[in-house]
Amino acid sequence: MSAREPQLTLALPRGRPWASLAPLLRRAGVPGMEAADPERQLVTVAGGVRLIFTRPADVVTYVREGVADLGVTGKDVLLEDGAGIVELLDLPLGTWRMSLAIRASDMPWPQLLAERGDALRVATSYPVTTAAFFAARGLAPHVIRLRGAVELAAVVGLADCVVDMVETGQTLREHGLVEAEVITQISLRLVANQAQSRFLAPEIGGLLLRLSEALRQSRPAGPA
Amino acid sequence: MGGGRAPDRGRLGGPLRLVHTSLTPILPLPYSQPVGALSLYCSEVTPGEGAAAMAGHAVGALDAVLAAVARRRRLEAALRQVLEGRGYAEVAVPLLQPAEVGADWGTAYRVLDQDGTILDLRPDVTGPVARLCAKGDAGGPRPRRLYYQATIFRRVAGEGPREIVQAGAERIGGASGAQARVAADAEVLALVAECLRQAGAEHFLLVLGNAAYVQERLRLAGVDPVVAMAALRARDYVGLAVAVGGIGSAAAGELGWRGGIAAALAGGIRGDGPAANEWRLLLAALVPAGLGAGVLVEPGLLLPGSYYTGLVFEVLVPGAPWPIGDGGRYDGLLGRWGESEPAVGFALDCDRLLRATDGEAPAEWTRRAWAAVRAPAAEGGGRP
Repeated sequence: MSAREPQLTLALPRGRPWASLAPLLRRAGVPGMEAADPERQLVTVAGGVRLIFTRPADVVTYVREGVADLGVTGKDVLLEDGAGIVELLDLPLGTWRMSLAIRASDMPWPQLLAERGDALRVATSYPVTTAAFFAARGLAPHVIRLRGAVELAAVVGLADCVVDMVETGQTLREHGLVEAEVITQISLRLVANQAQSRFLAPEIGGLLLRLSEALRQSRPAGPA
Repeated sequence: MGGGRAPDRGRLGGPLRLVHTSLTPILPLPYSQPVGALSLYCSEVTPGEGAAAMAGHAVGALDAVLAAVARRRRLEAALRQVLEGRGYAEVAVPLLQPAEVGADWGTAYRVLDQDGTILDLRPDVTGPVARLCAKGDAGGPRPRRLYYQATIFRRVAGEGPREIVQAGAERIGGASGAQARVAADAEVLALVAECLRQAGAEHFLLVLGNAAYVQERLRLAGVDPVVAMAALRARDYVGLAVAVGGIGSAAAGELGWRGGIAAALAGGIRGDGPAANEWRLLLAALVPAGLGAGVLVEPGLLLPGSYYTGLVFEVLVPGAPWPIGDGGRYDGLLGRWGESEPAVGFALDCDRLLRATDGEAPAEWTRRAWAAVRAPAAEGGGRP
């Protein structure tokens, strides 16, 4: 712990994003990362930086309200509730995508979509993104908001299809579902509070440069 | 006064004495949008009551009692004195508006009248005032200088306020040449600054952008402005980089730049197009008006509304994590209802302004934040 007053506060996501994010933050020299343990800590302070750990969906709230100057969360979260913050940097650390999945035993997706139309029932934890996806096709299906494990809704018949995050597709296959459409690719994003992105410009700019350099070093060399 | 709901001590969780209800439940009507989620009683909670006092209220709508009301009334009086002293006359527009009159009508709560007519709870005052002027009902010589203090309602994501008390002003009509626009923009920015000072905001920052300049630069770069401007309105610089051909592209560099007035005039603002030249004229006019030190130029700043045609700005106060006001030029808005006229205005969020000036921000933090923003603003430089 440092006695120095924190110059920057970062809200970082617990859970799945942490595994890919933590090595990047270490390479970028973010203080406190060596001892950071989001599963056991709520807050840690080191080297003039305060790290707070929270659910990915809550990172936006901490940043928007100025409790955190910066945060890292997924584009999936920002698509649902990203207003009022600044999206600064893409952190392409994984192979996530938001996809629509149906039961493998069902008719093909185009046929299912054509037959059900607006009567389609879609279960998801991402109602805004889902509604926008269908609205772009002139459709307004019944969107059922669930808090997680949305595959269950398709398995037991609550919904005709689900919209959820997919990494390898293994979970879908294990539950008898198939990926019918990729809605959008998803990556982690560095976000900032609107006011602090101006008031703390030197500190934020320094971190941004270090993260960009760490990202550049981690990328495989391209073709000559 | 009177006619409001009696205070429910059990739900409010404390010995609150309701001394004022500014709005009685005026909407016993069918609705197509979740009007039932609105509280029409109040919008601020007494300091210290905290979340417990929110129980029983819609998200984004809080009570205002005792000291909080008194502080708001003092703010209203201070702003009224400034605005009327500068020759602005008060205007009042109805809470219920015909559908899509609000400049930000996409955020409006929508209700049905008895005969099925769709009405909006005003999501802003700029739209109704522009309509009033376009219809020729405002009277008076041009330019019309009008101000208001009013509650607006907006559907917003997250936990933010839906019910917002605004104080603002609109300068509508008059000459339409570049010199006249510059003079009008400078007048409004000076008015904003004076309002902030009288409200007790010792330090503030006016962040300036320009919608016409953004369009001009994107057009010259051969970039489709629709996607790029949507990204800028959303403050999505990742999306902007994609739209303009990469983070290293010239357009990304120009629109990601920020700095003070001197740096902007020394090269931060690029090109020799009419929008760039007019913006330089405005920035040069702000220095003799005493606004030079409190300005940060961000060529990529856009506001959510798509109706801005030139200057846009937002107001920051150290210690407040959100903008406490914004505004800009909207020369095309009156054309929705009549003849287009040049127009520029601003609105301050009174509750945010009160919270920013009530001494909650640590003095050391405020000093440090102010020093931090002054340094890059003076030197010029890139966006973090």
